[in-house]
Amino acid sequence: MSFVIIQNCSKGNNSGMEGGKQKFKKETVSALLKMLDKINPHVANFRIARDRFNIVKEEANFHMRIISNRETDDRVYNLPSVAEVVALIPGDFDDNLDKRDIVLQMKSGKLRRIHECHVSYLALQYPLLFPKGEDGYKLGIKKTPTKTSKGKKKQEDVSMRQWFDYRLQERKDEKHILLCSKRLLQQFIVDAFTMIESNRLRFIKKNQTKLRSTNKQAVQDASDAGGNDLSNKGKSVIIPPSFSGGPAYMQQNYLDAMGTCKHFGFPDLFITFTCNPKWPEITRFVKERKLNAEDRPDIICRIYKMKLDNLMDDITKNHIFGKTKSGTTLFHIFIHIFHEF
Amino acid sequence: MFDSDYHDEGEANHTCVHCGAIFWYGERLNRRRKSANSVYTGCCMQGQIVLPMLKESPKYMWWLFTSDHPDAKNFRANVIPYNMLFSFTSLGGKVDRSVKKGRGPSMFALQGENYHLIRALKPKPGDYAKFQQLYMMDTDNEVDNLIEVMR
Repeated sequence: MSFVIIQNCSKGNNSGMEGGKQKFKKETVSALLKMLDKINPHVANFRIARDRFNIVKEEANFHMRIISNRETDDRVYNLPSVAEVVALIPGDFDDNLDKRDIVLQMKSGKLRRIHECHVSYLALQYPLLFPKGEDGYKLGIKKTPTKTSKGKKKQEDVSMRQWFDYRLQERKDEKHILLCSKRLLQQFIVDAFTMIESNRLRFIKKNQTKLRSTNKQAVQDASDAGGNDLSNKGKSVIIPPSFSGGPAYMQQNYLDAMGTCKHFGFPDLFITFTCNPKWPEITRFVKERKLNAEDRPDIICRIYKMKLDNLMDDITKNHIFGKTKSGTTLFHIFIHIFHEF
Repeated sequence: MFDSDYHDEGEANHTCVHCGAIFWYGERLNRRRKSANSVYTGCCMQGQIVLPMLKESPKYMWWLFTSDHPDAKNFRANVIPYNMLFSFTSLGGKVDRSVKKGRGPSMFALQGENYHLIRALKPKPGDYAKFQQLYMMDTDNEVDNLIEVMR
């Protein structure tokens, strides 16, 4: 998926005008507000909180808790009711509750960070995509056992990546605005990517002993021994090569590439395969939905993957260059042609 | 050896039997085989993941995203600021603005760790209400307040 979103948002732009055009239309804003007032459970709760404060005035000491886990079956329900999402509690908060809950104090200058596994994480950030406060990912959604999965010892819970995989598919009987939301979809996808990434990084950080990082650390120290002594400064987190995009991952791929070169000699061809958003499949698909190619980065990636697979098939199975040995990364292919002398 | 015509992947007219997601034929599992009931992955792990379908979005949202009315067009051009206007939380990542807007799709990159932040129920004395705090303000001039904050 793309790391880049396209946006001409200008929150820092103080004029509120852009190129002489009014950025916000008053009618649209008030209509949207009316809509959210009617159907959004979070808006409703803030309204309730406001009314409560207005009655008891400033002396009141309340805190508000946006609840992160609900008892409903998450495979069936995803629309929370007003009473389910928030609790208003008098007094200061105590610590013996779910640490993922969002606790809002009356007045405190500090910004609070929200845990990605909070069920309303997405609904709070994208009220226009999820106007009814639809549930996002949460921990402990169970997988349904099927024929293919039986007997295999696998993870029982749906992971965050799998959750987004499921959500970002187009289905004929699902009439949701998400995949038509253009730039908002792009922001959503980037946000989703960072959610998954920080979730995985947190796992790595918390599971350093399982990852046998102590051994790795010793090796690292030995290899760095010539340099400055940094080993006693703080506690470092080792990111294993299984983390895509991390330094160890890059190192491993680089060494693999060099290894093949050592074995087969230098490659005869080095192909960089790029994507053209004007490919007829993409054009047809987005035109049918009255969108532009950049509004559906998921489709671009999928068509690209199909084309790349086709190219690899042509080279490795149909032997268009003759007998070859080839390796591929995301965009680069290197090919060794076996010359018959 | 191989035909020089453009190899067209056709339309996305195949569906996953489990969850109904649409796929191109070229995306099937086991590409070498040509079978009528092909298997697709990348959506629900062949039926293992079952989540509730998203309910239909309000008609007004559909209108905003599909209509040719100037208001709807204005909304689509500024959809991210519009969303920010109503959101309860703010994005914590570092926004890379080094690429200038020009011809073609302008690029926007997010750097560093990303997270969402939420504020206290009421703003500090002398501070403006932001994000979810706006929902705690008085209703009389709410629309004006909302727009004012984004200026």
